[in-house]
Amino acid sequence: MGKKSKTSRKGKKAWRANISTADTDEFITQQAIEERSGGPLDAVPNESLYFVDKSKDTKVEKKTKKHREKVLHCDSVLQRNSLVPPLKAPLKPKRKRKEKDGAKPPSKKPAAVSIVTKDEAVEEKNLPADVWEEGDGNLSSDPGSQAKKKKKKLASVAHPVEAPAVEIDAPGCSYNPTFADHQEALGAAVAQEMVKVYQKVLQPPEVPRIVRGPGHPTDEEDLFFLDVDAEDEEEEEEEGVVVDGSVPPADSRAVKVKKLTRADLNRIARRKANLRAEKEKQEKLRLKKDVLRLPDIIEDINAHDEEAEKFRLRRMVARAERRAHEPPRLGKHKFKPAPVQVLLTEEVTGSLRQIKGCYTLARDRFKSLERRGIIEPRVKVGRNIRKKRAEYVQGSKGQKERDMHAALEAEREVSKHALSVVPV
Amino acid sequence: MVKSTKKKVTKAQKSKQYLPPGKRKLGNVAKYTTRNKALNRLQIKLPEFRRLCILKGIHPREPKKKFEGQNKTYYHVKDINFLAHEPLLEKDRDLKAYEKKIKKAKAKKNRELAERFDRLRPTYTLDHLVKERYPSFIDALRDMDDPLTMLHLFATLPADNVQKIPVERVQTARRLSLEWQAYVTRTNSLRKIFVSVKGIYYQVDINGQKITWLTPHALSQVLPSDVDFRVMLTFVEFYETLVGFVNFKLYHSLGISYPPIIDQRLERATAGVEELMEVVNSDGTSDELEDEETLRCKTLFKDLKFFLAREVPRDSLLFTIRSFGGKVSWDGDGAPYEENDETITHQIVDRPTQGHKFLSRDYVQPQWVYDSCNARILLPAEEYVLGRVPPPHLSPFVDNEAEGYIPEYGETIKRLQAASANHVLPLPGTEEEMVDRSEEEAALRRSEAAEVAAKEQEAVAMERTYGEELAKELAGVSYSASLQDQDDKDAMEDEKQERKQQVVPPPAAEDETATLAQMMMPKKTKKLYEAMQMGIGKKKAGVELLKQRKKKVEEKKKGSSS
Repeated sequence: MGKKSKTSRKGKKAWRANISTADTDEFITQQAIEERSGGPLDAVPNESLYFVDKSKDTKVEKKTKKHREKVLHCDSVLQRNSLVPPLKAPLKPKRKRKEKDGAKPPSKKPAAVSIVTKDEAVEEKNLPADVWEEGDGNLSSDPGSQAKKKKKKLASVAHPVEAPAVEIDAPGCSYNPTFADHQEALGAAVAQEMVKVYQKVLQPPEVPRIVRGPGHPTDEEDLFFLDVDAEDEEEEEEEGVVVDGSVPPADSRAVKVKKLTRADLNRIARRKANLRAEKEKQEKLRLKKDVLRLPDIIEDINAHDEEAEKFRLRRMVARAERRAHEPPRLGKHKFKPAPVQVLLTEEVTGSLRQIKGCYTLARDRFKSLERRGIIEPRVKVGRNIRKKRAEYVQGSKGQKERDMHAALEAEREVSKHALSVVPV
Repeated sequence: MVKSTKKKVTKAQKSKQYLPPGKRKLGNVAKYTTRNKALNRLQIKLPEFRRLCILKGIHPREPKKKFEGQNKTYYHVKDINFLAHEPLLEKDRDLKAYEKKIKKAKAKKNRELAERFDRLRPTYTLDHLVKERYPSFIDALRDMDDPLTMLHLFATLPADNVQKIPVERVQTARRLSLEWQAYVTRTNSLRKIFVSVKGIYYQVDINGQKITWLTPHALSQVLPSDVDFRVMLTFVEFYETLVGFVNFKLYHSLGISYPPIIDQRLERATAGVEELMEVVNSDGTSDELEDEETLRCKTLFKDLKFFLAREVPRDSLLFTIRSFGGKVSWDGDGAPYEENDETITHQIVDRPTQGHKFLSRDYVQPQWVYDSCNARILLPAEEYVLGRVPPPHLSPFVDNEAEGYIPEYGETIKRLQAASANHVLPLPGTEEEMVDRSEEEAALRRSEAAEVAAKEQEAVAMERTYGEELAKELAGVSYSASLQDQDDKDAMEDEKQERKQQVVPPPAAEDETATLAQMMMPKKTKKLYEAMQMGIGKKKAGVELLKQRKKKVEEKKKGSSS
């Protein structure tokens, strides 16, 4: 509560007492004064209120001047008045760009090959510049200078294999060759083919993809072959079965391992120690004997060294020869040279019109690229032939498994009975 | 007091990126990287990597120890780093981003926008690569074999959709190959031609460089499936740029403006050959400093006029005949002169019989042209007449002297060449005369020297036998026994003399000194000399064997025919 007393304000009369009329009385008195003195201040012109003091009051002037000359403290602080001269920004020494490839090419700048629209490119092509001009051709723009700066020493720009780009055929491959040359060329072609044939023949026989087991029905042909050696086979079978009585049947999966006792372990350990001791004794004996036959050992070592040296020389020579007529092995596949393009004897007609020319020259170019080692030898990957659809007959789900199980059981029966047979 | 030994800190060790030997890669592993690792480093896919390698000329290497296995392809680390700074990489990426815009426009069914984007597609050039890989003009010329062969091959390939061979490539290849042929024709630089099963080999001599290339026969070429045509197309793209620049330089050296201005009508008619010829032959300055070889080639078919029948390989013969200075025409539009022209001297035909024959001209098979050009003389046309199997087409790329064996027809050609050289009138320039004369004199001198040497040898041999016989008498050997020994020795000596005589005729201006030197050789060098002779003897034996085989075959033929 304020200074006002706690008077109740109920009713007009109560309110009349609380209203102060001080401000209205003030206003009225003020107005009276203004009227008496010559009007409200707002209505009075400036000239009657103010005047410019043109009196030369030196005292006052000095004072004002002095005050005006005073510098504000904040301003004086900002002004420099130190005897130390101000430092300028340090000059970065300009790097002398060497004539050679010293300077780094601007890597973050936009691409050196400017994006030209198709029309511009067409125009440029119509007026090709001379790349090898002595002065600067049109290629003095960024690409050329970048190429100059980028004179890095690449590891051997020359072709890796010393083979000519265009290998000229033997004279026997002419469309109208002499007899001797033709025979030579034919000989080379035949040799290539025969090498392939011999390789096939001399290879070990291939493992057949499908092997028919004992229970499966045999082909008709094989039946005849079976009869031939039937007697021998039966004998072998009997022998095989009789001899190993204690061996568990071949198909049983659970092989029980006997648990080793303490005695067994000790025995094994003793045996090991004995073996080791014997070995050491033998070694010592051998060393003693070796000391006596030192010259022989030296001879052996020398012979061995010579052989190793010969082997190394042979390998080097073989490698050099291989490098001379084959490209280096650059990838997964080995390089297969193209067959010699020569006319067969019956095709040599001597007529240019009837020539049986080579129509796969693209392959010759591709092989040449592989031969020079620019591309690694490539083999075309065939498309994945999707497996044939297998038909499913309902109710046949476990049939295969049931059949196999039955066959297994039958074999076990057979072997059991075989065991029970007593040999004569 | 023990001095504290300071470890010397090398310059490499001072750098912040220094790694001690245990931590960094050493040896082969540091120098080589596999292809997949390179792909990861460059952040590109395999087809683009292949393309870039081809354009930049980067090929895989074979390190001494293949540390990741035999199956991988290895590249030099420096090569890959070099590839990383190639501006074409950025270009490709920008192009891909642009393609996305087109795709988007198409997906939004905004065909106009897609077409507009397609028209304004950014392109790139390979000029900087040419300059990088071939800093000088001679380097580019040296490597022109492969580009020319590829361009000639692609000029004949069909523009296929399966293998994605664009039509523009084929057309540019054809244009460039024709421009090249026009230049060769103008400068008469063609030197050797060989027609084989694969195609036609040409060899040209430009600025001292021998350039050989292969052109396919006029058959429809098949695109084999085991060849990667994307690789071939990348090569062709690069080679187009290269050959364009080379042609430019060559044409400018002749004084002709490079893309030769072509008459449209003629172009359509003759598929480009004829008007190029016109342009090339009309413009330009003639080089006065011409090689003797070039002059010979220029004047070979000088006054001859040829007419080609329809069944002969037209492009090849046009090129060949023009390069050797002849005039050609054919049956069709745009031909310079017709078949009925009276001044035609030779008509090239390849059919078994010819219906109507003009009497003033020779009817020959195309092989006559090729063989004459290789031999540089006009061979007798009787052997190449219609309906007859011509003599064998020999390869000019075989060095007969190196082989030691010249086929029979080769010898005929040689004789004809020698004959024509003798009959050739001396040209107004006295140099040629002098050359001929000096050659004759040299030949005379050689024969004289041979005679003198033979005489000397005989004298020496007689002295030796006299001395030996004396010695034998002193030793007490009977006459008959000595005769037998003599026979053996004589046989050996005869062989030696034969060999020596065979050695003497080969061209040597210092024959006299040679024989003297033989006499006075110490034992060691004599043995070496004899070993050399043995080698030569073996070669001759091989040649003899071939000759005998030929005789046998001929005899059999005679026997069978009679």
